[in-house]
Amino acid sequence: MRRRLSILITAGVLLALGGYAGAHDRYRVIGPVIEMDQKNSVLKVKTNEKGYPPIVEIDITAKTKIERDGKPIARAALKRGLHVVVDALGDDVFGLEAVTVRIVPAPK
Amino acid sequence: MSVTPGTPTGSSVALATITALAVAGVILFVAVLPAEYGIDPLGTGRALGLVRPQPASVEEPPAANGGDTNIHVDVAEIEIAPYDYVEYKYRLAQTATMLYAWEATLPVIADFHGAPDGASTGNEVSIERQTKRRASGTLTAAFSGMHGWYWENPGNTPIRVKLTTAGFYTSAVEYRSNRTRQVHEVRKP
Repeated sequence: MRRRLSILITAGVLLALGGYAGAHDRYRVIGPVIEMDQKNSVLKVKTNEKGYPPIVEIDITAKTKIERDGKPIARAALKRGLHVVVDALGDDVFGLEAVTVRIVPAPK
Repeated sequence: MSVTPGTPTGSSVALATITALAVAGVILFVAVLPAEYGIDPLGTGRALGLVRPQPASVEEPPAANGGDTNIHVDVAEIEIAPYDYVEYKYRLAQTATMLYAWEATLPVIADFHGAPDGASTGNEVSIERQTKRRASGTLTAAFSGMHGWYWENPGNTPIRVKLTTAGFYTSAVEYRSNRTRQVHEVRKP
């Protein structure tokens, strides 16, 4: 009985935490790469978007898709000066995790 | 036991009770049920003219205004920066209708969709998604909630979208990729 109860409580806690973890907002960050910190897996992008800090730091994970012209490319291709469109998830703009990073031509 | 003449015997009382119940039952089924409740199992109510003809049941067509009596119009000009997106949606009640037309200066990725009230992000119901420059038509809301467009600028030059609508909506909201939302005033025609 005690064992069943503890399994139920654990399952409930895991479900609640899973729901919380999945409840991130979607953000899009557009701008030139300031730095790709390969050691800490952080991409720094300059943006003029209202409501964002001048430089947004976004975590790059093993799941992040990095692409150019629709084709996947290596993380090492992210260099300073390249223009990127980053779709990221996070609770706010100070805690973003990149889902996709697209290298695109700079805006005219 | 002696029986006084004129005094009912037990068996005659029982017989009278059964007869009264039987007659009452007959009256109930022949007249009372048809006349009072429209229940006519024997067909006597119709034969005696006790049953009123029932009006044919007519199902009300859904109201085009979804219960709202105020029609509104809205004209919005929206700028979309390179690679950015914007959403513009109206609150419509279930069955409310809206006429719309929009045109962009260049092709945009357009997703016409609705989000039921209380639905979480990602549970939008997409009506149409394609890359195009313009669209027009009517929408009858399948559910109460926010209905409208996601427009994405796929290129590196800014795009302007002009949207014109008329319908039984109550508000318009513009959502930007930076998580800001702006409520637009809709006006009466």
